[in-house]
This record gives sequence, structure tokens and C-alpha cells, in this order.
Amino acid sequence: MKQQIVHLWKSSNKRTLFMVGLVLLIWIVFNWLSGGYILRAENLANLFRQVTVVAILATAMTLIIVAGHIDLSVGSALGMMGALAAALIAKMGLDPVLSIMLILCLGFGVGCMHGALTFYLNMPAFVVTLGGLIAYRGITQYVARESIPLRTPWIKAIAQNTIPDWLAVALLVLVLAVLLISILKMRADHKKAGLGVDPLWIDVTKYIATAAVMALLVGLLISGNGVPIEFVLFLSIAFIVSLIAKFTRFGHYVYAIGGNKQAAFYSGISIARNTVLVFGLMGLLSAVAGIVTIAELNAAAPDIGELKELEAIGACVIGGTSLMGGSGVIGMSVMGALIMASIKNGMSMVGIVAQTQKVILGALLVVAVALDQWSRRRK
Amino acid sequence: MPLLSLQAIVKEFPGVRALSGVTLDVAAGQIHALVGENGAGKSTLIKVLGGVYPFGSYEGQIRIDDKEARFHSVRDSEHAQVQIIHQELSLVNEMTAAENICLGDEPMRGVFIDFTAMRLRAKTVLDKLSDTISPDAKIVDLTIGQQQIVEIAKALSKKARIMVFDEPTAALPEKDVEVLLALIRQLRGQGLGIIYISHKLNEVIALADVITVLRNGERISQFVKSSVSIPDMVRDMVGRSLDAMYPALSAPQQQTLVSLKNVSLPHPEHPGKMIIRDLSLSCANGEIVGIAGLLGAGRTALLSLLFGAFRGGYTGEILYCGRPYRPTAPADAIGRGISLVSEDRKRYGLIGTADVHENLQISSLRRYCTHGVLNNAKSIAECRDYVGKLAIKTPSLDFPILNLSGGNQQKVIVGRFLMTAPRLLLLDDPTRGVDVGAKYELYRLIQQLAMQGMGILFVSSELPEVLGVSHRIVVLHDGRIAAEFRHGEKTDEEVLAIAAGV
Repeated sequence: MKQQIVHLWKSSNKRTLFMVGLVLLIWIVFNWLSGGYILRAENLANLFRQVTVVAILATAMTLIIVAGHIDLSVGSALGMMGALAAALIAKMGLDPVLSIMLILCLGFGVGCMHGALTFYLNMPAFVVTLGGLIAYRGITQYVARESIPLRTPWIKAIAQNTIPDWLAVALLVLVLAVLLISILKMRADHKKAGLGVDPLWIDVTKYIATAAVMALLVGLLISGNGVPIEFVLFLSIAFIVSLIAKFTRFGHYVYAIGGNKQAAFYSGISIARNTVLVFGLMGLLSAVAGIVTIAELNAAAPDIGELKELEAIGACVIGGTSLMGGSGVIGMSVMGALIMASIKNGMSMVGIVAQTQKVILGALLVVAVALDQWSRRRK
Repeated sequence: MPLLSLQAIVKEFPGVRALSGVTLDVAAGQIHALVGENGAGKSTLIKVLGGVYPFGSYEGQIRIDDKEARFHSVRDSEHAQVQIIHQELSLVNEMTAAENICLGDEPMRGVFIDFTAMRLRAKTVLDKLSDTISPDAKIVDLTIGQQQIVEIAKALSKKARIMVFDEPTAALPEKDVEVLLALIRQLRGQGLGIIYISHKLNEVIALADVITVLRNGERISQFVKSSVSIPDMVRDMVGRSLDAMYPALSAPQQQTLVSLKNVSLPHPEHPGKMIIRDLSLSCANGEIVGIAGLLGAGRTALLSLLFGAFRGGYTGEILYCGRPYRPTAPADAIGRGISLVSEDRKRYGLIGTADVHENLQISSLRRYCTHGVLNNAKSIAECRDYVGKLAIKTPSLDFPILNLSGGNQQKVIVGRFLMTAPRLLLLDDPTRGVDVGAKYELYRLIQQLAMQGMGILFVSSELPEVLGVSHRIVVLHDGRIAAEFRHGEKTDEEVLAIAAGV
């Protein structure tokens, strides 16, 4: 029995278990400290809304860091995109859907520009994106010099509203079904190819545990005001980016380039194309984050997105992404964002003022990474 | 008509003419060996063939099937079915063996990578080469020998008509070498044209159909299998004949420099497993003690321990200069006059971003400082001195270290430690990737250092070398000393048997 438990432990992703456990611990502790305000459906729904922007940014930022680069312009870029979107929609009266499409294209283009400058001019991404950070903030402050209020109800709804309960349940069932099918399929494929498979009971246990957690969460949210649209949004984005990272050539090559650029080059991988693309993806998701931000505020202000790049990088780092490049998991970065947001949420509920919160968060970031380094050394 | 023909290839770098009109023909179903000292141009020639130096950056022609081939990138050469296994390992550490083997050429299912097919492809080719490497093993968890096997598996998994092996057996244990050579002969039987580069001349003679000798970027001679001998090759490689492979030994002194008593080293990651068991060894001033043994016998661990670089505890007693010695870090060891030249210079030796000067002086900075300020002139003078003493081939002290050939890089590392004036020198495979001429110079150097009173522990995987250079030889097997004898008392075959535990 003991040997089997060890096997289960080893074959699970230790980090996933640790991160999930940590989030739950944070919720429970603050729930107790605040007299029961955390684990309420409304609060959790708010928490998921608060984490959305950083989580979206963290997904692409993971790939940037894995590739061996960094993107400091993300906060200012999202501000610029949000401001321009608001200007197009509210000031110039352009069709909202068209405006959003345009802004997404702009985001992708700006990102590709970062990648191109980094590769072709052989400059550190740090420098290129630092320039972006400064320049785009200027543009944001000009375009949104007087805050631009939005008058399009459905945009505001993205941030404020929830999905109908029946849809939430349907999506949950869909996700669980897909998960089940893919596990079964993988087992069948591996068996057919003569490769090893974990014992059935391990996969079953993992599946049941995962399904239980997901069902509980969705159930809790439904019992309140429902599952926020933003929750579905950032999870979908995280899922898509994870798919890209693991299963597409592009994603695979990003990890190879970050792991050993020379090996990647000698294997015929195009460093140019993949560098440009990974920054393009970051730019695209910055644009998405910008739209979400103005949806949340129902307006564009000159300071939107400030410091978001650092929060995104912090989320990646807490999620175990190595700053040396070559390793990092999208899902873990999102968990990192959730951890940071949960701590902030908890501190607010307990009554700690914003200034003190910042000090604590800064210290926690250093502690988290130090613990991570220490555990790596022990391996 | 040859399968592959490299004609009059000329390649220049700023300040160096690496190739001066080299011509090489390889027929289908032929193994053509390429030998030469480090810096002779072998790897450069291969990089031209492989598209690393693209068309336009060299003069001369590459012809395949009597048609000119222009490679603008590595991919182009792969499309022409040329596969090269480079000397410097090119693997992504964080990825698995399977991912590395299929890198750049992953099996797809629609838009997505098919990992099952990838693992299967990798497993199929790995099983031909080794039974200890799983396709899911991360590269960073494999030994150098195993990494080299993965590199070879990668090339083998692709369709090729021309294959190039650049020092493939440098880090392989004996039994894997045999497997590889058999495999190469099999490839020849399938009609491939094979270029084989190696410093191990007896391997070359056993394997090759034709042998070309390069020296200083020029083709000196070409031999056919039946008419070649090692002295002939060495003479052409070096430009003079080497009368004795190993210099004559002088007598060691009596005073014991370092002694280990009943030292045991538990494996830091596998509890219960011992890397070294109950080992007792001593080395006197002026004595060269050779340590032979197979990969995994504990030789490198022993040296790391003495250098303070071993992560993990040990039991037993170590005496150095008559006093108890408990090393905690290399800085400690260096300060007390113990230096280690490690086997993996890329990982543990070279500062890749720096030049020759920096790499030489880095352990000796304190000596060049007065009141905390660095005296550059003094440092440069001493470094120049060592470049001369060790015959390091470099156009200047400011030359980037990575641009030197493997053998010269090794000499720089040796020089760095010699400059700290050690009393005990630990050498771990110091001649790995070093050519014949440079090897002889290193042996003479080791001999000179011993004559001056330095104690030397010399670990090497090349048996003839250990037996030829040392006063006394110790054979490790599975963490224990299996035999101890003096210079000349045993033959290669006898020692090999002892090392294998027979």
C-alpha cells in the first residue's frame, strides 16, 4: 500500500499539488482570520475577476521567459491598447467589434515588432521592451488624458456579468468529459505503442480528485451569483496557450530555443520566426488584457495597466518558471497569479491597508522564489 | 564517381586561415577517416559541409552525386541527406531524450505534435544503441556518455546518405564503443558515405577504408587501410616523428603528500548506494599516481572529493601535508595548493564569454593585486609566459576562448591551475579531445611538474595513457581498489580485465 502511495505521489505533478494546496491554505487561513468572508461565493467570484488581467498576461509571459527573454512593456502596452480601443469606440463611434479586432491586430503587430527588434538587431529584449514601457505609457496618457467613459453595455458586461447557470454546468460537464476521453485515449495509444502506462487506479484517483475540486468550485460559484464571464475567459485563454505551448511546433521550439539556442539552431529551427511569434503572442494577449481592463473600469484612464508587467512576471516566477529560460508551465503561472491575488484579497478582507499590502507582497515574492531555489537544490 | 566531393575548400576567419584548399572525396559504402591535430581544420571542414558556415562564407565547392550543392543553412544540408554529429554536444537539457532526438522534425497529428509517435521513434532508435536510456529521461539527468548516445541516436533517426561522426567515442564506455563501431560498419554496408573523425588512432585504423591527414588547414596525405601505420599518421599530423609516446619517468620522492584512509563516499541521491568503499590511497611528492577504471567506478568522485567539489558527506580520514584535511569548497582546496582540471571543461572549466587572458588569470588574481588594485602588466606577462610554456595556439591573449580548438582550451584550463602553483594536481581525463602532438606536450609537462616535486593524481579513460605516464597505477572497480602496481608491471589487457571485474 505504501509503495503504491509513493508511486501516486511520484507520478503526480508535485508542483501542481503544492500550488493547489497552497491556494486552498491561503483561502482557509484568511477565511478564518476575516471571520468567514473569503469562502463566500461572492468573494470568490470577485477574486476570479481580480485575477483575470494578470492571469492572461502571465500565460504569454511564461513563454517569453521560457524563450530566454523578458517583456517589460506589457503594462504600458495594455494601457495603450485599452485607451485606443476606448477612443475608437466611444470617441470616434466605430463599431465596437471592429474596433476590438483592430486593436488585437495592433497588439500582435506591436509584439512582433518587439521580437523583430530583439532578434535582428541582436538587442536584449529587456532594452527593447523597456523603451516600449516608456513610450506606450506616453501614448496612453495622451489618448486617455481625460478619462474616456464607455457607453457600450455589452463590453461592461464582459467584466461584470456571469454566465447562465445551465451554461456553467454544461461547460463543466464538457470539460470533464474531454478530460476523461483524452486520458483514456492516451492510455490506449501508449499501450498500442508498447510504452509504459501508469496503473489504472492512479489515473482514476487523479481524475476523481480533479473533477471533485472543479465541481465544488463551480457549485460554490453557482450558489452565489454564478460563474463570472471573466473566469471562463482567463481559463479558456490559459487552456489555449497551454495547448500551443505543449502541442504545437511553435511552442515546442520556444522551449528548445530557451533551453539551448545552439542545439535548436543546429536542429534546423528558425530562431527568427519563433522569437517574433512569441513576442507577437504576448502583444496579442496584452491587447486582450487591455480590452478586459477598460471593460472592468467601463472607461479608459491614463494609468491603466501600470505595473502589470511586474505582477505578470511575479506570477510566472512563483509558478516556477526559471528566469534562465527553458522551463516553465503555463498552468503554474496562472496558479501563481491566483496565489498573489488570493493573498491580496485576503489582506483586504482582514483590513490591511494597501501600502502595507505592497510590502508584504514584495517580501512574499522573494520568500517564494527562495523556497523554490532551495527545493531545486535538494533534488 | 564519388558520392561526396569537397573540392578546394578555403575558409578564413579574422586573423586565422582555418582551411587552405582542402579536397576530400567519399564514396558510397566507404568510411573515410579524417585525422589531425586540434586546430588542423577538421571541425571547420565539417561545419562547411553541414551548412553551419553557409554557402558564400567559404571558397571551393561541395559536390554531391557530381552536382554542385549549395547549403544556405543547416536545414539545406539535412535536405541533401547529410547528417552530422558534432563534437560539441547540442542537446536541450530540460527536454527529454525523445524530444531531443526528434527536435526540428517532430511527428505531427494535424497541427499538433504527436508525443506518442515521438517517444516510439526515439525508443526504436535508442534500443539499437543502448539498453539503459529511456526516451523519457531528461538530458540533464544523463551522464556525458549517455548524452553522446542520444546525440548519435538523433542523427541515426533521420534519413541520410552521408554521415559525419566528429569524435563520437570521446566519452563512451568501452562496451558502447563496440556497439557504435558495429553500427557504423552496418551503415557502410547499407551504402552510406561516412566521414569519421577521431583522435583514437587505433580505432581509426580498425574502422576506416581511407584515412586523410590534415595539418594546419592543409591536406598532407591520404592513406589506404592496408598500407597505414600509427607512426606514419602521427608523423604527418605533427610534422615530425615522435620517438617515444611517453617521456621517461624520473624517480618519485619519499615524502607522502596526501593520503586517504578508509574513505567511503555514500551516493548523495541514492541512499544505501556507495560510490567509493573503504578506499586507502596515498601519493608522494613528485609521484604520478594513475587511476584507471571504467565509467562509474568512482574515479571522478574521488578527485571531486579531494577538491572540495563533492556534494555530500564522506567517512574516513584524509591527511594532506601531514595534517588532517576536510575540504569544503574548491576555494579552500586551491588555497591549500590542490588543483583540479576537470573532465568536462565546458561545464566546469571555461568562462565562455571571456578571452584567453581572463580564463588564465582568473584563479590567481590575488597575486596580481596590490592594495586591491589589479596590476594588469604583471598578469599579462605571466599569462604570456604560460601560453609559451604550454604551447597554446592562440593569435593573442584577447582571443575569445570559445574560438580556440578543444585541445587548446584544455591547455588554458591546465595553465590556469598551474598558475596557482599547486602542490597536488588532480587531472581528470586531461587529454580528452586533445590531439597527439598536444598530448605528448601535456605528458612531458606532467613529467616536469612531478620532477619539480608536485604530486599528481591522474585519472584517464585511455588505458595506454594511464599506464605510460604514471609511476604507480591503481585500478578502481565499483568503488574499491581492485589492484595496485608499478609502472610496467601489467599490460593493457590485464588491466582492462581487472577494471571490468573479471
